[in-house]
Amino acid sequence: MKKISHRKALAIIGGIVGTFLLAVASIVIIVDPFFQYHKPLPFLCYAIENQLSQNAGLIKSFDYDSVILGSSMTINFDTEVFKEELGLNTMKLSTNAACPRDIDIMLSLIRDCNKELDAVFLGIDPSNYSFEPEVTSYSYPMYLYDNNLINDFEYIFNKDVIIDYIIKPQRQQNNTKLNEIYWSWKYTSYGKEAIANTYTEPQIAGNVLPIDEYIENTEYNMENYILPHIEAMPDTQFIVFYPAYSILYWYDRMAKGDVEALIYQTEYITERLLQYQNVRVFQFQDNYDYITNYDNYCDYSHYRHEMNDYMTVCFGNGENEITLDNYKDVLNDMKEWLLAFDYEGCW
Amino acid sequence: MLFNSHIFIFIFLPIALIGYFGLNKIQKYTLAKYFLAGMSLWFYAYFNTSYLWIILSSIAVNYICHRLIFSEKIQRKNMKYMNLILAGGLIFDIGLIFYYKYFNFFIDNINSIFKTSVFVEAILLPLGISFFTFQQIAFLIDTKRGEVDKQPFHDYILFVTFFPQLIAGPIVSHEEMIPQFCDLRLKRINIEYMYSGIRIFILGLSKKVLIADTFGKAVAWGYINYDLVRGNGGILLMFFYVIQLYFDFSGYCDMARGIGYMFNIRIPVNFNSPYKARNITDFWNCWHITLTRFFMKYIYIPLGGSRKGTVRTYVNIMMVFLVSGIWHGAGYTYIVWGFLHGALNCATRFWVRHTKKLSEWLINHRFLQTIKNVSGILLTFIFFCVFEVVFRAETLSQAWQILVQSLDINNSVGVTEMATMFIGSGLSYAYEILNITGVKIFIYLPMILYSILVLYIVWGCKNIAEQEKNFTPTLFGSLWLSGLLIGCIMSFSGINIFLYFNF
Repeated sequence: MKKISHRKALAIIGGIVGTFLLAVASIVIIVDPFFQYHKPLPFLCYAIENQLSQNAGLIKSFDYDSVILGSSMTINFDTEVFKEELGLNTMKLSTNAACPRDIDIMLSLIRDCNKELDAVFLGIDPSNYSFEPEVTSYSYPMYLYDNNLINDFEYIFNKDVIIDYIIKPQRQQNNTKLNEIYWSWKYTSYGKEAIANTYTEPQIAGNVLPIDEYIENTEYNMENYILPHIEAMPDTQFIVFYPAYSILYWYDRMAKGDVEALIYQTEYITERLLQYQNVRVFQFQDNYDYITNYDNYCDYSHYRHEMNDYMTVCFGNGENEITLDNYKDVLNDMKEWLLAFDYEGCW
Repeated sequence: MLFNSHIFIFIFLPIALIGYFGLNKIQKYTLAKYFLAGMSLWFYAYFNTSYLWIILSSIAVNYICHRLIFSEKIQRKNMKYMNLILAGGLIFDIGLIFYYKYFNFFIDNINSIFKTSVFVEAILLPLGISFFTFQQIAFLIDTKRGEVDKQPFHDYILFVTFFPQLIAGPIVSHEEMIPQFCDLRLKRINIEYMYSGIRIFILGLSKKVLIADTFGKAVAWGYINYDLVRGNGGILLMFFYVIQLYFDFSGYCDMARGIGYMFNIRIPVNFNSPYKARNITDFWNCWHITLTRFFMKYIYIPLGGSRKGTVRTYVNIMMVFLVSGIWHGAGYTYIVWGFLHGALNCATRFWVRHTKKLSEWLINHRFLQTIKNVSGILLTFIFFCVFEVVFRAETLSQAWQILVQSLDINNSVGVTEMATMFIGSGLSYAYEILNITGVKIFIYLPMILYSILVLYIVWGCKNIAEQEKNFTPTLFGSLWLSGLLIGCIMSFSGINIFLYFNF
């Protein structure tokens, strides 16, 4: 084997590694599949399918006047419908299992980027609002959520980025349409048979949690992660909505004994929100015909995309909106209906 | 900060090297030491700045004790006072480690035994506290024994904080490090040392990133789903974990030694092919060597070692391994793990003492000797695999369940799932292109190849410390190292995807 000097060996290692990394960095920065530095290039394909990694770039580099925030209950919104019904150029920034801190991360970045918003459509899953402070749905690649170029190494020198988000989309000619990002409905079956794949009927034991079980954490989460943004963006309308889970979701909650605690928590959240002039709240959980029809669901909570379209229309015409005058009655009616429902015969 | 991170390789290490050698070049030797200590503190506090106060107060207290013991007044006049200072320093060190590492465990036990409900907030364990505390304990004891000269603060702080060995060892001694920090011949860049350092670093990095982390994915899956894993799945899980553990820890120590070389500092070898050991005593002389050395010097020998009779020797061995178990972590799993190793060491010692004649007879029978050696290696490895289940498990019952389920050889569960963990994004995409995704043999092939590779590295190759005696640069070697470094750098961070579809 040919021996070389130490100096030459170091030069070879430095030269090869340096050249390779420079080439990789150039490719990643030019293509920029996570949109950290620029909008998508028109002659390339981009797969937008990773909420944790791509939401940050969607916020930083795209043009929009409104955003959709929330959990997987928001992923099937079609932003084209927002354009047609509400005249808005909306960006969907869903995060599966979103907790208040997730929403805070998104809104903070939007504000850091000085984005002016007409509206924020925020889906709230009350059960996620009682999580412990600082909890996020998943571990975030925070290097994408700041403007620190030094930690961008993790994005630039990353084989998964190269393979899954640069090479693959070009080869497959996979270019996600912006209004379709994160859609799941095209790949999902609906109805009782589909639900049965993931659903196990619970046993109602009869225990009931205290009504204020969730208030302490909810108060912390609202005051630290949600309300400060509402206050800081007085010219932005916050359209908040509670998604319509199926009756099986409530069956589970009955088994856990926290239906009343959840409704009380929802009441608390609504009350805090409606103190602000720039907030409107919509309640879809009490569409009883819809939530008791299993054909509308793929599991115990996720509905068809038609529900998303329906909600969008409601945001425009005010249907299902609750106000300071009626929210207590609406939630009380719902509580009574849920408590009176015959769960054990429903599955 | 981690060695296997972009910020370390692209930012921290170049600044540390340039700054250290730059200051030495203009003969600011003391400043260079402070600079390196400062960089080490940055390295240490990178994830949590509150760690800084813990290590700094620990250094301050120990250094004051060192100087007090050394003060001539005390040395000449008052031995008792000197003992008192040493005791004070040790109480502080042990108290610090007890508070940060064991206090929660202690309170849990109090609550459990006395049926109380004392609540203590979870205490965050500072990185490497066991390492830098043990290093300073040894230093203080050696000061009292008269084995250490009076040290200036810049040497002492650099000795404790020197970043390559700060958070995961090796546990270095003052006589290994301080003379090197003071040696003026080591203040200039040495191109041969730099090459050796980079080479050792890349090899260690590859052990960690390309091997340990790959096996680690399978292990993580296995331990999350431990109630499912059975038969061959359980046996593979045990095997994968000891491979992960060895390549992770020895890879880290290799990286530390490599970085040391770059600064012209020789850091002691911490692993010497432990899986080639023929019995457990031999094993502990090759695994985490500097920890074993610490226990020998500061616990086993002061307790009497093997000088006070057979029973006392066994008691001393058990003591050392129980302390070793507690040192590794706060929990009953670690204590039981220490007990198991201690017991096996005692049994091995007993066996060796009572089979001397057999051993002598075997020397003249080469074939039988070989069989004995090979079975010794295999048995030691198997015992280690089993003991490490206790080490890795969260509870003793979990460990027991894994071991029992592994004996269920008629049902093999978990092999396929763990095999899929060896298929990275690149390979997965290659399978997609070749249209072989899901073809059974290709699911298992990466796992099989990885396993053959590590078996070859573990049992068929010289370790890095043995290789470095003959580190002659070649063109092929340089190309190979470049490829490994690129592979590692591109693998530091992955992209998380959602595992669950849930709101």
